[in-house]
Amino acid sequence: MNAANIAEIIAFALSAFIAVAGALGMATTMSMFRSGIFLMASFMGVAGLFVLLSADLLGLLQIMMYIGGMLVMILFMVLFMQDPGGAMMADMPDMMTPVGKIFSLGLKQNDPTGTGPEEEGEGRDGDDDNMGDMDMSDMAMVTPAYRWAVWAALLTAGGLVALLLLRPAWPLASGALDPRSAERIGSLLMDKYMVGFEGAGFLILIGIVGAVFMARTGRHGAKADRDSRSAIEDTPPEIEADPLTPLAGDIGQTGPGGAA
Amino acid sequence: MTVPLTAYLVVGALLFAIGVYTVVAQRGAVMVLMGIEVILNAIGLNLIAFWRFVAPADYSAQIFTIFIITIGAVEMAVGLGIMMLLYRQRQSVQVDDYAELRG
Amino acid sequence: MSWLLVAVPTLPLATVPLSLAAGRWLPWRGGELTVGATALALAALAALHGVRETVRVTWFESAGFRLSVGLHLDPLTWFVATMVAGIALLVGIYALGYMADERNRARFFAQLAFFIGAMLTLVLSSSLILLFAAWEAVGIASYLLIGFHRREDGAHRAAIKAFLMTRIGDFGLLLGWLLVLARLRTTDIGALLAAVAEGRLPPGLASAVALLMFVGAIGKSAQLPLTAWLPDAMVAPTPVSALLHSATMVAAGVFLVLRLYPLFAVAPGALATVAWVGGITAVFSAIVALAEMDLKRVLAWSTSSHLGGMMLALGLGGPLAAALALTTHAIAKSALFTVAGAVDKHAGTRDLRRLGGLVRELPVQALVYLVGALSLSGIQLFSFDSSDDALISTALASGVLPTAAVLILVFLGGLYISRAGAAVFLGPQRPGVREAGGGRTAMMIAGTVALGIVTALGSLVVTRGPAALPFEGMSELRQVWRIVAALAGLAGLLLGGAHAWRHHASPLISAVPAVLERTLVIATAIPVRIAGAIAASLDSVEAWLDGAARRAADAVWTLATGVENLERRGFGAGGDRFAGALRIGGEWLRSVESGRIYLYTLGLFIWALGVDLAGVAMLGL
Repeated sequence: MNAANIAEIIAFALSAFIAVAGALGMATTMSMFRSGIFLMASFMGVAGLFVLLSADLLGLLQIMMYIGGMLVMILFMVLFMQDPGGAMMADMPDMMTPVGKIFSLGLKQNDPTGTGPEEEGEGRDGDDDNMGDMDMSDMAMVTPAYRWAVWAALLTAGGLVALLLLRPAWPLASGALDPRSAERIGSLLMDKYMVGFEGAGFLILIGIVGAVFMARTGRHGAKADRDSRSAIEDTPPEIEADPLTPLAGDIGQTGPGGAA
Repeated sequence: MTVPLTAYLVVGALLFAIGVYTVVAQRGAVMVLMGIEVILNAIGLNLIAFWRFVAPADYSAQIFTIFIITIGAVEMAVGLGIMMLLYRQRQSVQVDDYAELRG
Repeated sequence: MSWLLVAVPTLPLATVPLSLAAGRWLPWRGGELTVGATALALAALAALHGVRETVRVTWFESAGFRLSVGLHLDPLTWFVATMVAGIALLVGIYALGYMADERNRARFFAQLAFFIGAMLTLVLSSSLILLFAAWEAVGIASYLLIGFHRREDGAHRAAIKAFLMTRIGDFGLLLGWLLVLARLRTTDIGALLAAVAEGRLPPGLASAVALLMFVGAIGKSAQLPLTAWLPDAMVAPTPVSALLHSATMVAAGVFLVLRLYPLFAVAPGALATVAWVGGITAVFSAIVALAEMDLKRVLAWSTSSHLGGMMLALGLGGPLAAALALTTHAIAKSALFTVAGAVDKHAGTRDLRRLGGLVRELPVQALVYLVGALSLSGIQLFSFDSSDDALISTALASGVLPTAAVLILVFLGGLYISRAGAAVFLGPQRPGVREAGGGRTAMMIAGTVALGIVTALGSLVVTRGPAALPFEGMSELRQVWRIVAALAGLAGLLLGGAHAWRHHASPLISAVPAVLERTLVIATAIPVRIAGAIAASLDSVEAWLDGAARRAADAVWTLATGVENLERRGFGAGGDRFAGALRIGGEWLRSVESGRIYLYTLGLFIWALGVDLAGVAMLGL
């Protein structure tokens, strides 16, 4: 076993650890912001595995697409969530899963006075006044079915690994790799998989249009706006100058047709 | 090629299982989307591992992985759009706040 | 020269975005762009006279299929394209005046330019696929232009009707060229005609292709099953009727058959179909036109009739006659339509019953109408070599029945045209709905007069072209037949005029419907009378029956009460229990649909896991 082999094993172990541990952290930590960061780590690990598998182009794509593009979107979305920093959950360690405790270490806890400096980092949470009318179940990070999910995940992982270990005899082929793999992929993409390529492009177009269409303001106003509008409709404004009112007085006093 | 194929596949299986857990167990819509991304990553890893060890001459596997990444990106963009819409309408993006499918 | 050829359809198309974008700031709202581009296209065509040229680009080539698009210039396409561009130019000038007080003129002229460009593409196309695309494009233009007055009653519905009915025909055309593509692996018309000439196309396939193409022609040219859209399309502004629905677009069907004539020539069955459909349509539409009360609808039915006549000529093996008739009819009919538009503007109505005596106020238009009517009836002013002569010589060559049909057609054509013309221009003056007084702007008169002059000189101009057409000439016509044809047309004209002089706009063969109606009344009255007598005598029988029915009803009532009791005691309780069980089962089933997404995903994953494990177990065992 020479040095190159040892280096490869070390690199694999490192990448695989980062990938799996990152994904595990993403799944279990109480802070969604941390989830995003862990997910990025996991993507990096998988990118490293791609490079180890000689798919350099894909490793690069993985880093650029996921980390450059999608993660930004994820962090945007996190801003919409309740308690993105996990500060509330950090107050209640007994609601965490055992693994979650490890990955949620050192989360900044909610400042009970609400006056402390809270500009920095993950613990920031402005919704202090909402704390009172929220019950415990509404704050939980996980769905009621989470125990089932644990079993499903364990069964999946165990089943798959068991299968892999039981049936390891794949018809392996060792061929020399094309040194210009990116060129090969490019010409395949433009030649054999042209239709798929066009389809992916079309899908992206539809996705952009659909996302913009859904996210634009206007048609569905904000909730507060709609509430105020329906309140206006419930109580119509009073009629200011009712032409019938003086007539009614006339009828009562001078009879019909009393014109000056 | 010191590291065997099975090792890569085990990593892929673990990622897949973690993704399954996340998709089912997490309440936040963002977390569900992240879980889906992990699952897609696991699939891509499997594809590439099999390509490298079983059919290194045929580069189709990489093409499909590229497609997977593309579709993941589109899904994320549309997901962001849906989430912004839902948030504007109901002020909530927890998946269990939406049970209109209830029979 | 090829750039000149490409410029012909491209010029009008290029003005479409210009008119849409900048038309509102121009003095004529984009109309000058349309007219100018059409004039340039016409000039380019004039420069291309006598040139044979093909510009062809291979669009793509895949698995042996070769799709090419391009333009092809030969005497036939040059001839028809020049006719289209010329009429479009004159009608465009007319439209400048006609549309002067309309809103949304930029939109109108953009659509008109789009139509002109698409029509020129259709005519000049060298491949079936481009021809089909242009065919659809003129359909869309027709739809847009018919519905131009979209707030007017019926315009919307007429537009949809026209579009859908022509679409039925387009389906045939689509199948036709797909069949050609599947067989010859190319859509090039030249290649198709070459294959026909070399006999590489089996006769059955040639017949099928020709018939499918003819279905497309039926839809566009308003032949018999698909006729009804053309009269309804008259809600469009009159320049549209003059250009699309009389001269160019509806002639596209005839042009298609003409262009693919060698294909039809090797398919006798298809040719016979063309002849029969055309002949029946021609006579039918001419008879309907006799009773129509709307000036533009008379002209529309007349258009359908004349197109039928061209189809008849094609079916009888006289493409030259059809080409001649196509041209003379197009010019004369658009002149007539411009006159109708002026009448409409001037009197505010097109209803023949309300019009009359307009010759004093629109003398120029009356003169042009006379010229057009004479031309349509086969009486050319400045030449003896008219298209009707060609029609008759074609018909004479193929038998008695076609000859009689053509003569009847000429007669009927004179009849309805002169009836409508006399009702509009002669007789006492009647007040229209509103005395609009318009219709006499310089542009409108200029367009009308120019079309009238072309009509009058028609055959002089027209006969220059067909000499170069790739069809064999027909036998020389004997003088006696020429006189017979002219007499038939003249007789029709005089009879129709005389009828309108005496009875104004009443339908021409009104006696026939009246007799039919009276017969119908008598035929229904007798059985009704008899039935009444029988009913009266049966009154006593009815009283007895009434009593019996009441007794029967009582018995049924008793029976029903008994059955109801039995049902309530016997089955009712059991049914309730069954319903209760169903309800509980339903509630249980309902709880499965929790509406919680995570439960659905969990179920999905567990199911997948189960399937995997089952598969492994089966493989392992």
